[in-house]
Amino acid sequence: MRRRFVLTLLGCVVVGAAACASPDAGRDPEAVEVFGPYRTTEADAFVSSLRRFSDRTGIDVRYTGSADFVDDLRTRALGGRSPDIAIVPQPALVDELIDEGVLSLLSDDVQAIVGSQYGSASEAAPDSHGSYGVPFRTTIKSLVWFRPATFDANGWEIPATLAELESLVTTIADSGEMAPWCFGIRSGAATGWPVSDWVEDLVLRLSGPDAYEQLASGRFDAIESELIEAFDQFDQLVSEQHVLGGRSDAPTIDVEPAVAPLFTDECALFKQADFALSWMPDGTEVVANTKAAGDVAAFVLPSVDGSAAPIVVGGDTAVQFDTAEGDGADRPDVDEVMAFLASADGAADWAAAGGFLSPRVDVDRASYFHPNSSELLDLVSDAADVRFDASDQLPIEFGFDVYLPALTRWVAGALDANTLTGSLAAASSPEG
Amino acid sequence: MTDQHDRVDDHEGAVSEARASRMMTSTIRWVWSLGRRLFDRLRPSDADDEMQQAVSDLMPEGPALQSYVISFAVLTVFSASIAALGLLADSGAVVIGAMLVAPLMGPITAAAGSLVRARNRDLVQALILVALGTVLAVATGWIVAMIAASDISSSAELPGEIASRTFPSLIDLGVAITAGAAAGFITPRPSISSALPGVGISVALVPPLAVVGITAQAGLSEDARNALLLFLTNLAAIVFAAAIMLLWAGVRPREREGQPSVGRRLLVTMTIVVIIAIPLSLHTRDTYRDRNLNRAVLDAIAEWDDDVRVVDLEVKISGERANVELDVVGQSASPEAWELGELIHDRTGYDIDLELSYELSRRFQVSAR
Repeated sequence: MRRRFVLTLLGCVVVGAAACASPDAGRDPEAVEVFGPYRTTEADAFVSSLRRFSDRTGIDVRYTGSADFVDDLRTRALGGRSPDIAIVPQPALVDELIDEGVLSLLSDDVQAIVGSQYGSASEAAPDSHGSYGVPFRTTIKSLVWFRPATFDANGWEIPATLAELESLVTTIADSGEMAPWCFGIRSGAATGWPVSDWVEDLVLRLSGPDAYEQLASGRFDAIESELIEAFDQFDQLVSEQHVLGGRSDAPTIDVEPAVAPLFTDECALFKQADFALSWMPDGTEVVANTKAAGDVAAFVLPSVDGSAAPIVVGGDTAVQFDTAEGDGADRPDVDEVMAFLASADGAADWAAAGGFLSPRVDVDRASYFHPNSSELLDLVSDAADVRFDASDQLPIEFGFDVYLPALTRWVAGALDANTLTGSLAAASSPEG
Repeated sequence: MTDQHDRVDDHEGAVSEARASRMMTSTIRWVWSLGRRLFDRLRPSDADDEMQQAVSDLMPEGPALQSYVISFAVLTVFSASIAALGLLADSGAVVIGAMLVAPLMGPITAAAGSLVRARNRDLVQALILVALGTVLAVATGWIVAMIAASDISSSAELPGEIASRTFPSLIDLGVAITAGAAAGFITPRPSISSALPGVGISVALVPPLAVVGITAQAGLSEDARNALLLFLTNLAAIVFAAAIMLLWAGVRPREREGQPSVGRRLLVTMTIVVIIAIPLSLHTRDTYRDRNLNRAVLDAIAEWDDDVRVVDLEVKISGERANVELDVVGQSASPEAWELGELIHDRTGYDIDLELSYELSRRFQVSAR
């Protein structure tokens, strides 16, 4: 022990104190704890604004993000170890937390902020928890990313109908130049969620909003034929041969890095929400729904007949836990952090860093890193129909333990569409 | 009035400043003259014949040279074999034994002697011998590792005695300079030559070379490079420090005109030492940072769950962020990775991106009577 100490001391003397000091080690017991699903670059972008908030107010915030966010948050909340604030993408989880009585009502000030300045995307969100949640982030799910230069070089056109998309995919596959799709669906306990996004978009396009709402409420038994139609359409578009590395390998590929081969022309298309911009190379220039210049562009997954396509959106909601000490004292510091997250400043740094869209309409469009990316918001306001992510509304245990694992097995080729539909219908029926 | 006061204060300030600076100057002068007196007392005015002879005897000349080279080569092979076996067996005692057999200090000190006496032919001869010793020791390490069929395939599997020689640091440079100075002090004074083996043990010339051979044989090129860097550090530092001590002892070129070239040679040697010190100091800084960080991560793991066994840990730092890749085996059915991430963040202060692989090991306990 002594020898180690002497050596360390000697080392410090020789190489200077810098090698021996680490940045800001130690836990601040007063810090407001925020828990969420953002990791790596998204976590950096998220805390960037919060750190400036801390500098200004003296309120320390510690953020922890986990790929197993849903499991972790439920364990923490039910085990009496709640964070002060959580950013939750699943309305169903917010409902569950409200039912458990672990959430705290928003302060009057925060409720007043939430009552104003929000756009059409957040209007699509289930509104059962208006006084508990702050809409923090809007995500646009129904996008297909591509590289305009690659499309130009090959003479490919943006498809206006699902049939045109199907023939484009066949053309790309036949060209032998690259695979039509990049596809990865591994994401911890949420593995399979990109497949659920596909299914939702296809159900909405092929069978309409009523079937979509049945899907969102978990009534699979009521829409068996619609589900089979959507699964078959997916099998046509995203077959084993149409995916880089084969579709059955998708469950072994992480969601985020799956976009990388798009930039090396190993695949031509990547269906993913707007936040995929965070996973793209630094400085990627984006254009919306066009083939104009730019490194990358996105079109909305087309409708069946070429009419304006509906759009599926998601959204992350900030909720506040009832972490007051035994005496029931208020937590004004937590209220302040919530008010900041509800304000236009709350995600200014993330908007400027790229890969983030705010549900607030008063966020200056020019402040987005990709000013063009804010045009994606226009896609939402111009859309024929806007629906909130169905799988995020499913009861959490059903969604994570039954629905996503079943979709994953189907994509991997371990289940066929009929068996999948049958098992989902059986699991969702009131008696089942 | 106030203005006048200020001026008086200024004046008094100036007087006391001048007094302080005079005191400082006289203190520095006193320390300097004390140092000079001490230096002059220790330094013989010029090396006497016995000392010159002792330096000349470091490497025989003429016909005796051939048998010296042969025994040098044989001893190097023996020493490197013992070192390699000791290293593979992870036995510090055996490695120390190997250092006592090692003959490399001879030609290295001879090189320092030739340097200060401006004898080019002897210098080249000594350096060729050092090169021969280097090649022989590395080759021996390689062959021993091959014969011993060591199954080392990654840096993590290296025995401690080997691993510690793949982390050269500025401290090694310090050891080499001090030991080289000791060698330079002892060489012209045969009466205290019993201390020489201690120098050999301190600087450990052959073991790093054996490590180069062993790690190269295992295909670990980075470790081999680091061990070679450790050897080169020792080599350059010993030659430099020993040369300084020999000069101080009064060993000089016979002809007066040789003196300027001694200065040039020393400058070249010193430049080499400095050039080697640059990668070493960077390496030292990173090594200390990484070791502290690894220790903090291991402490965090122990606080999180002291039943888990760490299989693999890799920490990469970029700026304020540390990427921690961790493989553990443990007994928790639902380990809380988020909490470990927070603990690591708290202990290191870095923004943490943690990639945890948790393998569940189940334990069954049965009593049958």
